[in-house]
Amino acid sequence: MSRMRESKILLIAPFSKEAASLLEEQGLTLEDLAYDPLLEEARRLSRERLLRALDARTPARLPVTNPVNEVYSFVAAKLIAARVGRSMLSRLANYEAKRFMELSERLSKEELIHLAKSTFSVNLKEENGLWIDVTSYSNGCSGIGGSRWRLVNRIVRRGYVLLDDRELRRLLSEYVKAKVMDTPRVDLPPPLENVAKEISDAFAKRMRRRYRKPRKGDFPPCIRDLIAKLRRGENLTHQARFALTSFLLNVGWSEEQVLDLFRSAPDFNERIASYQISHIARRKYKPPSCETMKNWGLCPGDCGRRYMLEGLD
Amino acid sequence: MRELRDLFSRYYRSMARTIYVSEVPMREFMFRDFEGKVRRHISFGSLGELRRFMTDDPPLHAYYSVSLYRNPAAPMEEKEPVRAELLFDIDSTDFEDEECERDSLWRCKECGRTGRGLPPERCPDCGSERIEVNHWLNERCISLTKGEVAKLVDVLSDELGAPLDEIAISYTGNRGFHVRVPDGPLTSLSKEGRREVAFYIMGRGFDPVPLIRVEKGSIRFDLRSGVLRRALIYLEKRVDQRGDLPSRLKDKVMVLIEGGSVRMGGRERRLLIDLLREAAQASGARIDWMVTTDTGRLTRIPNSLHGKTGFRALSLTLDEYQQFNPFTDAVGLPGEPEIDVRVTLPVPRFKLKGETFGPHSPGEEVRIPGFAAAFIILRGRAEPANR
Repeated sequence: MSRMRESKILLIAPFSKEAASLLEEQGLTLEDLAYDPLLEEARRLSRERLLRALDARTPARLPVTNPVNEVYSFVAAKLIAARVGRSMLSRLANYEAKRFMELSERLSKEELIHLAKSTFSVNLKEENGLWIDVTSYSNGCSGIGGSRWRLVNRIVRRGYVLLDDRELRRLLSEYVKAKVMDTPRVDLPPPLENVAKEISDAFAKRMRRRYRKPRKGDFPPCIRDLIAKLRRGENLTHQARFALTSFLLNVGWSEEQVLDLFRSAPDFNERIASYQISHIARRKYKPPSCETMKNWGLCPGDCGRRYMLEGLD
Repeated sequence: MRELRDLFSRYYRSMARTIYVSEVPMREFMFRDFEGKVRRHISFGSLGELRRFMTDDPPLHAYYSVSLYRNPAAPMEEKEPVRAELLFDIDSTDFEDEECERDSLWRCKECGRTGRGLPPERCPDCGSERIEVNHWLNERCISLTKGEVAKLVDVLSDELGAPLDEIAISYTGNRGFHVRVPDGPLTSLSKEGRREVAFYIMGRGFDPVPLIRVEKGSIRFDLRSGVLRRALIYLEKRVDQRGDLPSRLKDKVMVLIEGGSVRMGGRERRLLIDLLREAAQASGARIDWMVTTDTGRLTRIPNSLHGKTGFRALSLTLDEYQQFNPFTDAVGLPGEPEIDVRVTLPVPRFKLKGETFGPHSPGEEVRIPGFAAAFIILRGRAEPANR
């Protein structure tokens, strides 16, 4: 691979196999990350990554920095986020996925296919279009909402699913998320620990603002699951957010209370969330039927209720 | 139950070599004995060890884990799953078919009302939903489930890429079949990924809209979608039987199914979309998707005996299962000795190994071959008479 192409991949995909071999080659240690004066730029970038992730801000433009710095800052950021906790890590995972989705537009089809195969071990083939193996598709698409993503609505032939370049990038960004979430929690040298402390405080401040503990009551298991996921800082699909919001409004929660609950969502944006919640409130939407919940993959199993509000309305 | 245990023991002594589970050291096993005691988180070093265990202490039910684990005998959270067979369960109990339930008995736990046939959702007397059912099984249950196996196998091999020779079919020993993909890439599916695959097979959540191509006011379908093709074929077959559909729509379905394009107004298009959504589910295979998504599942060991029938959970090849008749082929218990039984619930006429038994009424005492006695005792309709 040409050096220029490799630099491009490192900048756009600091989680790639190329990045992993670079780290291995250079024998980078936690101490280097924390103290090496030459890595000051990487440390600055990692702090920026974390702050942007914290506020679910738009990803930075393609950096003009040395690609090595980009890789190191990615590694430092995820170690710091993991140190802060699962919720912060989940925010960073979301940020990195979005960042990849935006920047990967600059990859050629060939580069994209190379990245997918080498970094995520997905099987791809080109034969009147681009096809991905059923297992990689199904494992990746389950985090993406919307009926067009469901396997049942795709063209599937001999173990492969048809998709376009943009869809492949979207699918891979789910894999990026999983990769970031896979970061172990380790003790950090003081300089990095200090950043962790700073991020942790900033995170707590944002969560404290108006966060109240949700009442759980005798909610159906599907709703309890969604609340638990939010509390763990996991992302919910659009459908899951709709189901949860319409349910809570129907059992008498105020729009404010629902908004507070969503504060722990990794991509929480107050303006968008409050608009969506009040839209659902204004239209007086009822929560989805159990049948719909099953189709959306949100029903954890038969709880004996015939509809979500049974016993509550 | 001593008599039954002896019959099971004789089966396992002569047939233990047919018990087969792949990669035994990485599986968890579970057994239920004749006293109802359950033992979980058991592991064996080899297939031989497993066979010996089942011969020495014949179980009433024997299960193995679909998952392979690093530590199969550890508690669930420490097992460390590696991958899992893709398992499909097709059970006629889920179909609510009248003919299949003809001889099933139900009882309301609230008021005691009893009845025969397809159990009602609510008790007709007191309205309670607490209804217990004693299912029976007949040829209809088997032919219904065979049809679903055929649909499933086609989709698995043509669309989902499982090679035909890597699809394993086994009779459950009761009212249906298990279909497995024991190896290959599909065994790396996550729980959520399995749900996508299960819904694909069921046609559940199907939305034809992304498959519609609009060209100059006409629409055409992208027939590369297998789910859509099946739904259209299903609709075409039934479109004539539905008097409520406009005749123009029927003609248009015929054109669409050939890949042609037709002009359609908004109302007509919405009607067609609704019909196709229904047709996708009706033409999909009826599997229990909860089983497919559960990678922590334990499932019956092929060729072991089912504790509710005494039948063998027989492994079958793609050629065998169509001809398979459990009432002759899966009877695994010996006829000798004959056993005296006292009937406790109505037993309909039934045929095993070519011999006809029953009908019997409660209170009747009869002496019948071991396998037939085991069958009605295990179905909960009789008890050994010497007690």
